[in-house]
Amino acid sequence: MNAADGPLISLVVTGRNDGYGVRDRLLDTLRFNHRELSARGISYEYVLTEWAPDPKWPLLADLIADTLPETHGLVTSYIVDPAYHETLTMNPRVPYMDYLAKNVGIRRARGRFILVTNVDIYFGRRVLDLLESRAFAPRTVYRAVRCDLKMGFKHEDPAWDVLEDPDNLEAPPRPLKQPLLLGGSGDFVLLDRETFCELGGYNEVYRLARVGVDANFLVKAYASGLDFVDVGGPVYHINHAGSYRLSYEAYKGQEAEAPWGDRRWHYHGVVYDNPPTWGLRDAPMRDLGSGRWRLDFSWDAVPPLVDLKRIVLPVDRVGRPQPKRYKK
Amino acid sequence: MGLLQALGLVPSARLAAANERLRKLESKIETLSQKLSDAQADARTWQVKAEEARQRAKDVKAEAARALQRADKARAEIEKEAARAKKRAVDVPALEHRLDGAEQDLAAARNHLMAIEVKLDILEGAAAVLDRRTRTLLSRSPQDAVR
Repeated sequence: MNAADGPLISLVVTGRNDGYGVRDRLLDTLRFNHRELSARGISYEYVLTEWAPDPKWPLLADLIADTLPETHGLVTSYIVDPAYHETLTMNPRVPYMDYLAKNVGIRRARGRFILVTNVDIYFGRRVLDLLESRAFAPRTVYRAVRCDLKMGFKHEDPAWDVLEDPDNLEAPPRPLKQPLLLGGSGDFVLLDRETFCELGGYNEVYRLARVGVDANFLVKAYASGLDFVDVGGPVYHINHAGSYRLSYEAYKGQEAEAPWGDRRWHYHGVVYDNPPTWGLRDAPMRDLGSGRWRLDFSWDAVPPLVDLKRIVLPVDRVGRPQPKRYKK
Repeated sequence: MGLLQALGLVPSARLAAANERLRKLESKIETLSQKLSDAQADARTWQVKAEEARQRAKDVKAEAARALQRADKARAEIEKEAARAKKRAVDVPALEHRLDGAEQDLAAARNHLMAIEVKLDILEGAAAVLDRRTRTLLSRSPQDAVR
């Protein structure tokens, strides 16, 4: 894959068709986002990692091809052998490893800039304005605040007035705070590909939780000297049962039992130095046609179970605000 | 006249005049006596007032002595306090320096503690995973495991 002639933006997402509504949310948001991106002439590719898909269900990539033919040629999917999940997980309670999956997409993305987001996110106007303007710089993390749409919000292709109606929101969004602009960062991080790869993507050393891994990346980016910019407008999130934001209170006092891992881990305080093979670099890839690739299992692609020297402390930034770190 | 004088007699007019003078002198004596008596009373009053004034002066003098004593004590206290303040002023920067050092040590200790806790989490997770894999392996082929 030659990156030189790649698109401006790679939208990197992950998902699994397992009967919990991912399919509908993905199709709804992709339909909307594709329409808006195309209307503004923004060149993009949609990089979808299907992490350990259940063979009982059709692949999301096939559903996209069937349902949204207008996206033909724009979608690349990586189907990751379930054996990778089995060998990489360090917490059997966590059924899905979002950020390992996203790393698969980030490593293979071709766009000059990578926008890591989720399959239940509609882009807002300011986000689209930014992408259209191309007024973004390298070594800069762009963040957008997240608005949660009310539970039960169902519009296959919502019009702007519906999406932007405050009555359709659960609550006004919480503003992003300097210096790290934390809060829902799994839903929107835009950064140039070169820097994303230089940082080695998301944490692959601590594989006990999915919660906090997005924030942990921002801590690393900040310690690495990157600038942070708030786009100034929101993305819209389709709320759904079982999401972390709606359910974490249910695990109060038994945080270690949660399906997203223990939210109290020190993601503000430590960072990581991923091995050079991050993103399953050495996984054998098989072309399934129509932009679909399968990553077959190989022990050669699996990093060590334990690699403690790769857990490191972030560097302080002289003359810049120091994020709060110690949480317990 | 001469004969009367020779006989030791005076004319009645002269006697009357003498009597009149006598009466006047007695009256004057009476007045003077009264004035003397008043003067003596005044003298006694002034003597009392003088005594009171002397007593007040004595009291004021004693009070002044006490005030002086208090002032001396206060001055000594102020000097002591000034000396203490001066000592404190000298110690504050040193204290702040020590405090900064202690805060840095605490932050470094916390950072290392976090790293250690994360590493322990990883070790615990790995141990659990290996345990699970071993149990699965053993339950699948107990004969192989024994061999």
